[in-house]
Amino acid sequence: MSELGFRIVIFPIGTLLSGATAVRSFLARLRRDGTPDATLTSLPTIPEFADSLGMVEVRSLEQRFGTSSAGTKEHP
Amino acid sequence: MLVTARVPTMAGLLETPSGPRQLRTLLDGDALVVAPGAYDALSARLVEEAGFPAAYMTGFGTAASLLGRPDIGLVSSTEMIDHARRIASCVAIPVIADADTGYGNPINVIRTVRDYERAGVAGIHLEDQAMPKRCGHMSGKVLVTVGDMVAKVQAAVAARTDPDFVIIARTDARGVEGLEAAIDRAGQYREAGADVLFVEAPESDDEISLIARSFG
Repeated sequence: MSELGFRIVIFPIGTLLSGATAVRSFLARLRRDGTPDATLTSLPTIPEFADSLGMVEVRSLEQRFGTSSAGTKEHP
Repeated sequence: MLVTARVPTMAGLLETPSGPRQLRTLLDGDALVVAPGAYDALSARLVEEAGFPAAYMTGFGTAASLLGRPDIGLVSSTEMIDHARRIASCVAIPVIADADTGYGNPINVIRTVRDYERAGVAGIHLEDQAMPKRCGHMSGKVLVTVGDMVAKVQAAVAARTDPDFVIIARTDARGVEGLEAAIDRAGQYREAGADVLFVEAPESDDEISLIARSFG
């Protein structure tokens, strides 16, 4: 695309379709097994996912501004 | 690259990135700018986390995630702009947002541009479909006249307060009036002041090449 002279390329719905497909797959296994156990190894833990959403920064801001939750257990 | 080197990961809560300037810098650079779709704030963060220099707020994905409905013009301008604000607020990379038809005539476009700009996105695209619009890859699209769309592009350019805010003019004419008409429309939108042209839904590699050559 670059060689043709285009400056920008968008992939509008790849994230949407792949996200929906992943959710479908999880739900199908949950429905079949009655438990999410088989899927858990490929999924992040709650703290890992919270960290990816900026929980590390939040903890440092809590320290900086001395909010009441600073220093408490870090589980979201 | 330019943006990711300065801000390696997500936007901090105290950050105020300048989306329009960042996007202009990317567009002025040498590398092709690749902007995957974000259909909500979380997916925008994932686009950023993966290392892409920009994200694209998809109207199709917004209709799907907000309403659970297809992209047929059901999402209101207020909902789109609120969505854009949340997406742009949680990433440091510039966000390009789908602004559909601009939600009315050139007067509506003025308000649309101002509100998207305040929402913190780097740029928007406006298309030449009649309301209610539908996904560019669906049949049954109806266009406004070239003159009506030219007026909307001119209104959009006049309405932006930051000269770096990127106005992208999209034409949906390929599936309605043919490729030649689509290229002609895009040329007129460029003359009206559009910064970037988006000829939607070409039907072959040859058509993509022809579009590129027409504006090279």
